[in-house]
Amino acid sequence: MKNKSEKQAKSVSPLPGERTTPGDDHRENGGGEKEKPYSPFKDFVKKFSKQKMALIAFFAIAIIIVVAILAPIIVPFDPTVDVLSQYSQEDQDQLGDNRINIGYQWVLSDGSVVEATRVPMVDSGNRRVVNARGSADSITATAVNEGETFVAVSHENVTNYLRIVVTQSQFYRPILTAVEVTPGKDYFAPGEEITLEIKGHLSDGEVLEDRSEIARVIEEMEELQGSQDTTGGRIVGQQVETVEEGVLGIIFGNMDEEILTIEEDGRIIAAQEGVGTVQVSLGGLSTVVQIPVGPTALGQAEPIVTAFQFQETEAQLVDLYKHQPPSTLHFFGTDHQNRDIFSRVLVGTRQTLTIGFVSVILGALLGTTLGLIAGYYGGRIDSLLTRASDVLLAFPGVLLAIAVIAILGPGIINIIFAVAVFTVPIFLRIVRSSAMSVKNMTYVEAAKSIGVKDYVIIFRHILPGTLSVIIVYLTMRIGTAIIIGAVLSYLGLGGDITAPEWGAMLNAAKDNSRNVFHPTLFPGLAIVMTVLAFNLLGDGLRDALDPKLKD
Amino acid sequence: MATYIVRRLLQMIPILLIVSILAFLFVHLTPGDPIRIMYGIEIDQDTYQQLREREGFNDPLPVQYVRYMGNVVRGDFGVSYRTRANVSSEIGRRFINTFVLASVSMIWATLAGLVVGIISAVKRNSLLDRVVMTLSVASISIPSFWLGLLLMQVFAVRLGWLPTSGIGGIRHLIMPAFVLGATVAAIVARFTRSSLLETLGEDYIRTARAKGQIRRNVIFKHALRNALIPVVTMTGLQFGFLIGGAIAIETVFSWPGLGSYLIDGIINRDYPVVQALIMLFSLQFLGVNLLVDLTYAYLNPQIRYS
Repeated sequence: MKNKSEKQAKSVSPLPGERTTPGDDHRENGGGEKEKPYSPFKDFVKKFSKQKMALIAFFAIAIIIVVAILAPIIVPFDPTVDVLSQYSQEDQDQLGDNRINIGYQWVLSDGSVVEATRVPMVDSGNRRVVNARGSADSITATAVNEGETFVAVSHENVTNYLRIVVTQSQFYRPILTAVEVTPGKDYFAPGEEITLEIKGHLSDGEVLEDRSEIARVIEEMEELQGSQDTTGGRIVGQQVETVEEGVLGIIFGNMDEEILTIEEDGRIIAAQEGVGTVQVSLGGLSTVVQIPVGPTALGQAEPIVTAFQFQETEAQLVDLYKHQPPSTLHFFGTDHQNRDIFSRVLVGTRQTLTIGFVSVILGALLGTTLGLIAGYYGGRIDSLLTRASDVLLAFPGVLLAIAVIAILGPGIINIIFAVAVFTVPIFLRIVRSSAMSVKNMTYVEAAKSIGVKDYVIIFRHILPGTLSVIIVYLTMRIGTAIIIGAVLSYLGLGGDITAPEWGAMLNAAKDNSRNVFHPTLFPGLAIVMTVLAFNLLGDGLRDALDPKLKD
Repeated sequence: MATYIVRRLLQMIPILLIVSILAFLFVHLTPGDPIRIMYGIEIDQDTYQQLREREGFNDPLPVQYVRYMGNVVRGDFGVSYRTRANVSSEIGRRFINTFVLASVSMIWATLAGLVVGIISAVKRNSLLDRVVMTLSVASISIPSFWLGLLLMQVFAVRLGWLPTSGIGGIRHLIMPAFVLGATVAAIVARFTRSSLLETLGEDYIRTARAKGQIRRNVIFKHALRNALIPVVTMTGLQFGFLIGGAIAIETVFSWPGLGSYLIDGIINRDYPVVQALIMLFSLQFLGVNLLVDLTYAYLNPQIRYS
């Protein structure tokens, strides 16, 4: 910590702090600027500008204040309304899809791949997750809620199950969406061994042809989800389970045992002429294909549909309705009512700063006045005020503020008042001791001796002397006030919990913190940055204005 | 000493009385009719009047106050408007929870703060020292309830190592106690460091070194003893602040203690609960402050209260 060593260096000479006082007084009395080479303000600026952290904090606070003032103009979205209605077309494209079209084609028994001529049967396994609809050339799936489901696509006997996930993030590990199985050859003769080509479509659009790569993806998925035994499609007919390379387990289901036989090791042998139906189940997804066997099949007038082929299987849907993750469109994501958190944080700056500034200034005004009175007059009034402030200081700030809220009821104005109440005794105490030391200065004595009235002495001669202490504490207390304000509104004592206020935002995020994190993260970071800036500035001011003043 | 304690105890009485009057008045000054809160809004006028009479709300305020305080002295804080449960027994049940949480937090925070503070002072300007000082500045800028939410997300939701909330075994205690104690630990560390550094600059330390004492002895036998006196005071005072902080932390972790009881009471306008807890907390802080003063006097032979 560089600051530390600088502090140490400065505290060696206690003079500057004292020099500030008479300097101020000179100016008050209208001393000519030119005759006086020493300017306390310049001295302060010089010392302050040496402190890097405090300077950074100072500019940070300046930016925060500018943001607070301009917030309603610069917010990208209306902070109080669902963002869905505020999207332009461009935004929609950027966001990722909540609707996909998966291209769909027929593989015919003559080996050709053609456009489908009939609309397939499309059925969504869970309509609360995905709605699916088919047309001749594609299957359209629309996200409804976060989750995972299977969409069955079928034409006669040929069926494919597609796994479709709806997530809140576009950046998700790809999962296996569809298993595409095609007979390796157009026609098989009886007794011939049939090889099936298996392709895995991943949700990021990649197509894997290598079985070991498919196995790796399946293994990753299982690790991620635990042992999930939901399977798209029940296995029917004769079941043969194979294990290949130790990992890739394919389950075959044979529906026509006369036409095809499936060996224990997974080899499929054509037994008799006809059209066989085989179900291939892999990684929870099953696919039913038809395999024509023998010359009669060859001689058929019209080729039959043996399997489906898919294109554009980026079956990764994004739930756009709430809790969108941070993206280039929503820097901080959206909250449980799909409101833009970035906009809310910006607008929340206003209320947070208002609570910080107004409450501390109120408390400081009252505390300073009482402190000046106590310090200047002393005696009975002093002991009464000191006693009262000691009692208040015995209570922790949060509890005192909560007690005030308990009496006044929840609400922002009451929070300001509550924070002001516990600020009063702090200022009373420090201003009192500062005033007591200034009171004995010769210039105060001089003013008294020429019959200047008490209140003039207090505000014209003593107050400027205590000003540096007041400014330092004012800055430091603002940070504390912001934290206490945030705690109170987090606890639901701020009245309107839907307001774009950082503490209230954290309160609202609390109920969903199990699933999503960004609504908790960003408002909290905003609090930390702001409070840190005020604390660092306070430290810097303390070192620059009064090196003796240390905790 | 005994007279001092008695005098301090007597001084507490007027403060407690003022607190009790304020707490009592707020029932009658805030909007919201206790009868309506207790029995619902839809009761008719006749029943309403009967109930007011039966619950004693028609008596003059001073009479009600005296009756209430009479009950309080006998340990009866009335019944909750919402649940009709006895407030005293509920407080008794929850007090244990808050006490356990606050004590565990305080113990780890003090021990960690002392150790880290001493090491920081002895190895001044070392890496550890810098890290500790940076953390202690950061710790006063981070709202502890938010730190709680962060930890909950990482260790409970993502990693699943600890339960998210509620009360149960030691595992339930780890996160709330850590969060609650973190700020105190940072403050104690910082204070210990500066106090020890100041003491190490004293003449008698130089004398001890000059007469050939080894450094470890000087630090632990000469410096630490004196350096720790203000630390004890400060640490004691932190206990009160820790209980204040516990209010938010209990709410974050759904810890069934007095703090969450108070917040629920305020939100539900459950006045007997709020009234009782405000008085109880006040008593607690005055008690802690007295204890701190007494410990201070015991440790520092220069101070003798008469």
